[in-house]
Amino acid sequence: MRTLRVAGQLMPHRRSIILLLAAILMEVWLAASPAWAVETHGRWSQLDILRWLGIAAAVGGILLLVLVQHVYRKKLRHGTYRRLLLIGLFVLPMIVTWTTTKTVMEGTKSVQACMSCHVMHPFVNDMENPSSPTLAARHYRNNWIAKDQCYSCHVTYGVTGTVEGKRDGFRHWLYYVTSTYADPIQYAGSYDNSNCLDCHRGTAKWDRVKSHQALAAEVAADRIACIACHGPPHPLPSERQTMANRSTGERDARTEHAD
Amino acid sequence: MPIEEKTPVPNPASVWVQRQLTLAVYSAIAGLVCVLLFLWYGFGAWTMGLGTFVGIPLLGLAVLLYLGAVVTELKQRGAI
Repeated sequence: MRTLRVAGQLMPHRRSIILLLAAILMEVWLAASPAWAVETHGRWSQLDILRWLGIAAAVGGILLLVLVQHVYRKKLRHGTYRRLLLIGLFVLPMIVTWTTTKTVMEGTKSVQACMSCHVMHPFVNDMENPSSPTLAARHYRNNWIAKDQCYSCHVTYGVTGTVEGKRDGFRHWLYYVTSTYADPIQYAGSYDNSNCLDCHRGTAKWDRVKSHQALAAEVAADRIACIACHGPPHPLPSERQTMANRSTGERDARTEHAD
Repeated sequence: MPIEEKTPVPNPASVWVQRQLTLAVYSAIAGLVCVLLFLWYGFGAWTMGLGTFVGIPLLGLAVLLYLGAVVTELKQRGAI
């Protein structure tokens, strides 16, 4: 009698484990399927792999926790329940946290990630403008920075960046989603010269400029900003406002023309 | 003389552990859904904020609650 009862309890338990494993395997297969690779032009970046690993772990975790807590909770033995919770409440959340953090830290380096907030559009549009005289545009046009152009100069929000960078990132996000910011935005922080010096200091071009040698200590101590001599890095707020008005006008004209 | 049937009184520690685990499960499910939205839809102001500023802390809370429940149960059993 006892054997039958135990067998009756074990059967659905085994079935649920098999179902769960099948769901996780299907997710992993979908993530690793060559069909997805074709959609991403046959190449899989590290970011894609991490993202899909995170998706698979998140879906697997949600399924596991719902099944364990709500469907099979009373049918599971105490030890099995605890072991499944170890996977659902510790192992999978750790994988998801790791992959998401890596995805955020790597993904935010791209120019496209900056473009996902519309307040950044004037900055990126100016950078890509071949006739713009700004520092960002000159770096972009001359291909001085091959990729991740925003991140190369604004390194504070990266993994090795400062705590202030993360705090400001959170603050800016909060302003953005609550629409409690004044447009055009104004830069309120300070910019560390070391962001420029990491690439420029010690080069032949840098050494040729006499004022660099004379002001080396001042520049290193951030008492003189590089942009004090080398022009505005981005369009000024008034220029950005004009650009925004012009693009709104062009959009309105296009709409009228379409009507 | 009627025989009194004794109903088992649940151990308060076990009840607490069970509550912690239930809360951890709900917190983990909510956190995983938030993170999944971000991973699926990619970089956007709302999805990224929801995934990183809401989802990750919820997952952290779930892990802490789970670890707390494990430690409480091990203490209850005299293992630590």
